[in-house]
Amino acid sequence: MKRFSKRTWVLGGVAAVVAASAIGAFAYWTVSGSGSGSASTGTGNVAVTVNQTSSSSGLYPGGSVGLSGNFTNPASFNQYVTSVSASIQSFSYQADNTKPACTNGDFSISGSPAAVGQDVAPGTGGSWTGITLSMTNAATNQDNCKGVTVPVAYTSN
Amino acid sequence: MSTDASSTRVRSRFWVLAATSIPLAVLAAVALRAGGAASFSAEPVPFRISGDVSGLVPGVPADVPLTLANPNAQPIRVTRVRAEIAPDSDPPGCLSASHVALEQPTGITSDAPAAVPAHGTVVLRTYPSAPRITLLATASNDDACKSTSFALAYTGSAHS
Repeated sequence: MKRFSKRTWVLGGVAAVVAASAIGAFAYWTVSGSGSGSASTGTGNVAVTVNQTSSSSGLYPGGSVGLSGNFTNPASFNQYVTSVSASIQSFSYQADNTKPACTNGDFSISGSPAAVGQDVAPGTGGSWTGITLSMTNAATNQDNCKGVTVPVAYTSN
Repeated sequence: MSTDASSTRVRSRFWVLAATSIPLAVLAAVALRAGGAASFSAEPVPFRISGDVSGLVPGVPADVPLTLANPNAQPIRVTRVRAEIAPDSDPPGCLSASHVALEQPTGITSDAPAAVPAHGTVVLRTYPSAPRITLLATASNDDACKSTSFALAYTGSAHS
């Protein structure tokens, strides 16, 4: 039987090491990763505007008119409106000074706050209703209230 | 001693030396190509993942920029990153299961890994390389979700 020469053994060994190294060069190790972070929400405090779309003209002493409207949400996200509140702003109007001035005391609001419970999308939309503006029937002359525009302020939450 | 016998012994020693030194040289060359003998044999340590996002509002998706930090002396290729809302981090009245949608960074894959240099960092800024989170716009009052936060936990895998 023919024996391998020393040269053959050595060359074979070198070839084996080179081959093993080449295999090692293609192998790779793996590593895991982990960590943490947070996601915080904003305050969401972008005021929604309450719009009155109903007409409140034609009021007379002892009469009333229902108020209704919608909302303008200037935010880029939906905002939930729980209710709408209305109040009459202070005013005094006396075109004829021989008669009593027409004031906010000649009018009243009922049904405020009115429940809404709507998620209002960006832009103008949604709706509210349920608030009533009334004119009192006073024992005094209320002619100065003719043609008066009653300032009503709205808020929402 | 004959000249032939001496010559044979010299040749024999030459080949023995060659048989030991050549493989060592080859190994050294491979190690250097891999970036240095010390780092080649070093045990890899986990890479770090971090990322925060703020100002979430209902219905508006927000990308969560992720920073991948590689503490190893070898570059790595990150092939997978996953995010989740850490258990028990839900704010009172604002359950993540019903108020948050979390989209995974599916853009990081074995076919599209994120390369992070040795001792370096990489920031993945936008979805789908980064996660995306949305505070859902529900039809109910979500005031409990205002000015609060959820804890995020990240995991990932990589190779050299």
